[in-house]
Parts: sequence; C-alpha cells; structure tokens
Amino acid sequence: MNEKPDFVWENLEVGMTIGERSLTVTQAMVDAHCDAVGAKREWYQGDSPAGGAIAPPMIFINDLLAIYDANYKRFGTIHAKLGYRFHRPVRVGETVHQKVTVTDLYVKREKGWIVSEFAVTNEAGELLLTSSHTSVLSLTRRHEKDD
Amino acid sequence: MTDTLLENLEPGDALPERTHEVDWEDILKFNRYVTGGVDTKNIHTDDEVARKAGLPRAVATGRHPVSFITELMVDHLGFGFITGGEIDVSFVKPIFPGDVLTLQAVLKEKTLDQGATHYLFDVSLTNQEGAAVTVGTAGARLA
Repeated sequence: MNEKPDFVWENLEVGMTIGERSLTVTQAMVDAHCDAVGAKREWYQGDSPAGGAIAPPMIFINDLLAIYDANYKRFGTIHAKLGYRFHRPVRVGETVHQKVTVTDLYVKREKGWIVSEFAVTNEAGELLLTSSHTSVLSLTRRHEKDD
Repeated sequence: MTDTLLENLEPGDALPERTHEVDWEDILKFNRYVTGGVDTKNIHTDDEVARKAGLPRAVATGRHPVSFITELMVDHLGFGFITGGEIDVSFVKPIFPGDVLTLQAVLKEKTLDQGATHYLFDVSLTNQEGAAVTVGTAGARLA
C-alpha cells in the first residue's frame, strides 16, 4: 500500500486536483451537522421551499479537509479565509460530487499559503455550491521567498 | 422570516445582534462530528498539539462559527440565501475555548438590479474582549 504524500509546498501545484468523491446526503448527516453547529430549522428536518428536507448551507463545512486528508498526510494547516457561493439547495437523499483543486500557491510573510476551490455538483451536473479556502500550510515552516 | 425588517433596512442599519459561546464541549462536539464520532487530539482539542503547530494553545476552528453567520443570513434572506447567497470571511484572530462571540451584521449595500434587490452585509464576530475574530461580507440577490 502506497503511503500518502505529505501536504507540503513541494507536493502541490496550481491547477492540480487534490481529490474528488461522490456521496449521498442523508438525513443522519444533516442531523449530525445541525447538532454540531447548533443549526435549527424546519427546512432541515422536513418540508422546505425546495419540496423536501434540505441541508444547511454549511453542510460540507469539513469536506474540503476530508478530501485533503484522504489524499495527503496533513498537519497544522490553518484556515485564514473562506468564501462560499450557494447556487442550488442540497437536498436530503441526493448524491453529490465533490472536487477540490488548487487555485493558487504563494509565499507571504515567510509562510506558504494555499488557495483551494471546493465545488459540489448534483447528478445532473448542476453546480450546487463553490467555495474558496485560503490556508497557511504551516505556521512553523519558514519559506525563503517573500512577496 | 422577517421580510418587513429586511425591506426597511438601509445601508448602515444593523440586524439584531446575536451572541454565541464557544465552549470546550462545543469544540469537542464539533471535533467528534468531523471525525465521525471519534475523540482525537489536534490543534482544536489539545494544547500540546496546538503548540507544536505554532499556536499558543488549542483554538476553536474558525469554520464552525461561520455557520452562525449563514444561519443568520437564512433567517433574514430566506431561501434566496440558499439559492443565490454568498459569504466571504477572514479569520483574523484565534477563537479560544470559552470565548463569547457577538455576531453583528450591518447592511453595506442594497442595490436594485432588474427587479431584484442585492443585499450585502458587513459581518463580524467579536470576542468578549472586543476583538474581531472573523470579519467579512455576506448577502444574496433576492428576486
């Protein structure tokens, strides 16, 4: 079994796909998320304007990191910025496809930074949401180049 | 849903503030959620691991409280936030266990565009010492 590569500057490049996966959004997933973040709304349990239960906007709050960790050995990355664009509701019971790509890598204040895009589509290929995540790769590693 | 409140808001007006305490139990619960029910040691749950990563001690994940902001947006912007919402935030200071966060949303822009209204709020989470820990914007275009 091949060991996963370290999640470090040398193993990353702009444009690369970090990983992708498909999963079905279940009511149990939504309930667990709501409990963890304290989200309470009838839409997340039953009827909604979409015609059935939907997931909270931040349902995939950890999925980018889960995809990182499925493909790399990661320690100490710190989120600095987060952006989301919501296009369609995520319906309970639907299967979605998630993909993480690297959109930028740069050095700032002697730290290595990564910008990743997380995109989620439904089975029809429609875009449900996109998010952009900016993280410092490590607080303890010094990078020479500074911009 | 508070349509009347939203319709009457003008730039500079604020939504009612909310407060959220992020205590150890909240952090551990969130960690169990992201690990599939397992207690793990990481920068969010263990001071020693956090120090090895260059932090002063364990810190809450900045991502967790973003839900406080998105739920506020859904409360006021409704389904339009689900189908056309946006949020951009920066995590400017760590959130430590026990911090009490005040969520503020001040209308920054209210623009009309082809029969729709675009609401954009300046949003922030401020800790009990008055320091902003998360800042950014959130909003949606409502037809």
